Amino acid sequence: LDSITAVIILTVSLAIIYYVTVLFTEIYVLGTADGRKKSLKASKSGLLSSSKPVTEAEFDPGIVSTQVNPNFMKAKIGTEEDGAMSIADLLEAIKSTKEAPTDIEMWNKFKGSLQELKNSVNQSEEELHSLTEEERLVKIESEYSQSSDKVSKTSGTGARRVIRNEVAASSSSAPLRTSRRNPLGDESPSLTGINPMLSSGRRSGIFSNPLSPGATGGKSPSTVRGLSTLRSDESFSTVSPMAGRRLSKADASGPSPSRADASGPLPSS
Amino acid sequence: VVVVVILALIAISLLGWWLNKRQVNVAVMSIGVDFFQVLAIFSNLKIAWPPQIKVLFRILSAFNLNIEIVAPECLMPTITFVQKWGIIVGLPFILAGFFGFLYLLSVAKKYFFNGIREKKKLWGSMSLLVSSVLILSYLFYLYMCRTIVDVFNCVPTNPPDGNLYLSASFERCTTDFNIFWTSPYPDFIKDTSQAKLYFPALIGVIVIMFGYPLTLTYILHKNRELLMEDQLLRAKGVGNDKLTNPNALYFRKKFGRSYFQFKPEWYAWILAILTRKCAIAVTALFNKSASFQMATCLLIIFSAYTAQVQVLPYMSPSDYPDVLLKHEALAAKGDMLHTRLKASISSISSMGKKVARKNIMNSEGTISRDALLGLLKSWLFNYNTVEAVMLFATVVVCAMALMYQVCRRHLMPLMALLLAYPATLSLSHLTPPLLTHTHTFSKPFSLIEDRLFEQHVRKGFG
Repeated sequence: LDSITAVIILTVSLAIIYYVTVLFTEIYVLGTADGRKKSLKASKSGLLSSSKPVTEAEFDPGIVSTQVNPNFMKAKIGTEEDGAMSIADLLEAIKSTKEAPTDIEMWNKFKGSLQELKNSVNQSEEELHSLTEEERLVKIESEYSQSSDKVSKTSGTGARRVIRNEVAASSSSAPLRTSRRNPLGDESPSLTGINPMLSSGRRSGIFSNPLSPGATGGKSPSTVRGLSTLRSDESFSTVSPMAGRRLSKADASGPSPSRADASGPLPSS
Repeated sequence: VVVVVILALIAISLLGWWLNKRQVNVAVMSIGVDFFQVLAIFSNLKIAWPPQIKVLFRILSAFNLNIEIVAPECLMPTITFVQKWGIIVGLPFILAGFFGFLYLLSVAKKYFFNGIREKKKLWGSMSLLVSSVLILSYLFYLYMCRTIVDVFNCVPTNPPDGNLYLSASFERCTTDFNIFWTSPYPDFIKDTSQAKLYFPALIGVIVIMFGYPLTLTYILHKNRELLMEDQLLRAKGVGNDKLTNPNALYFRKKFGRSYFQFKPEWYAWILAILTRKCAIAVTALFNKSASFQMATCLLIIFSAYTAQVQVLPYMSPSDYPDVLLKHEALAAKGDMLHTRLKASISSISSMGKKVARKNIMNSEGTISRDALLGLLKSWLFNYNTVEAVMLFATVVVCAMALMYQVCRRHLMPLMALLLAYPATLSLSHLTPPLLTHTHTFSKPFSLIEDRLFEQHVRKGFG
């Protein structure tokens, strides 16, 4: 070997050794997509996705904020107008007991409720997918009328008390279910007729995790209104539960381009 | 040989499946593959490499999915250069077609055997197909560019006989490409490989060399806001499900492999990498002088290295908090784009625990070894450092090759280089802004300084 060849081989070898070290560290030490085993554990085998009760050893209050995050509420629970607002009440009720998130028994009850809610949502989605477009609309109409009744029954502080009692009494019954799924079956993030993420910020607790330590009740309405700035490349559609018609982006444009405004008249609660 | 290749392909597929299952961040893998591919391409340059280096490069050419390794001439003695060229350039398309066929089979299975009629469920795994094709295109890009350029790569003999010959097949060729636009072709070129492949190669230049990066540019630029949102969610440790990534999940599944390793503002850095690869492939045409060819390569790689250490485009897990902080700061400043992004992702909670930064200097005024090691570890395993090291190694190989070509076995330039670099490094520590190319290697020092300063400020305010 002459010196130049030796230097080339040495350089390439050192680079390969360094690279292989980093690669194996990535695979075996960090081990996950983002080097966060905790995150993966929480998301993949998290408490909520597991059907068995949480044990003392498994209980980690830190995971509560992961499991009961506002996105879950947004996507799966819906809004007051959908008749599912009481889930937020449910959360508030749990919060107000001062027992969650440190009490395992309470957490298990709460988890069971959410799990059932999740199952009911999935079932509802499957049902809807099996229907024709017309049947879906009929179903949505009927569900809408049911949910309106429910909202009228469950709104207000009295309702909160009822729900709190329900939660305390039994974890086996699904507390409430969301009403309307997107009947078009498209890939819109909004699973409910009105996109709860955007419809309003009136109720605290929709957009924040009331269980997280130090939670003060979520984003202010002004923060939520910040969403009214639509992205130019974003398309969305939604079905107004009242009008039963599909709103286009053009419908949403106007002096106040908020998607909350674009979602049509809201059902009275 | 064929059996070994098939077994190797199966092993690679299983490895890919396993890594995907364990959700290993493959950003670091693509860095290594790029490095090995570029080194392997050097073996095709006009440099008279020492035999040991030739062997090394030949082994590394496996990363280019180089079919030359299986020696197709031995398997099929009658195979011509034209046929081989067609197989190499067509291979990604054949594989993409094969994936497409498998995809259609799975759709048919769902339709006929599982009774699924809903379009969304039937065609749901389209994103997987697009993602696979994009990975294939990225892997094959350099090798395909190199193969396409071969059609235009004419060299004289040594000593010259007045004619030019195709470097890849030693057939007569010409650099006067106008003759291919007239008919009939002159006799000396009529039945040559170059005459047969000239127009397919032109199509290859348009579709593969420029078409692929331009299409990617269009897609990434058009969806820049969406993918920036996706990267911010990735930095938050979420975004792998519809729940935490309502807007960009399907875009991530389809095109995520093209941008997932970069910081949100450098979402299109893959184009810089593709440009580098394309430029290196084109250097094959500068074949009048081996030294000139190698110097061109050195220039390309050094430019890439400078850009890399200046921009630091990769987003390692250790960079996530900083990426989010920067985003928050820009949104607070009133940057419209980041304000919109903040509105989109603000309601999505972060996953995992916040990273706690240890103080370098403890209360007794001594340096904490753990904190120091942690800091050095995060620097050492940062993807930007890995990329910089790989590029630096490539620069060294280019420089050595140049020396080898110009003055073989002359130790002075070698010693000069070996001594110059540490000197530059220490100088750069004293005057960092003057020598940006050493930034990466002086980074640990500046990190320690920053951390000490931060600690000092905190103490002062506390």
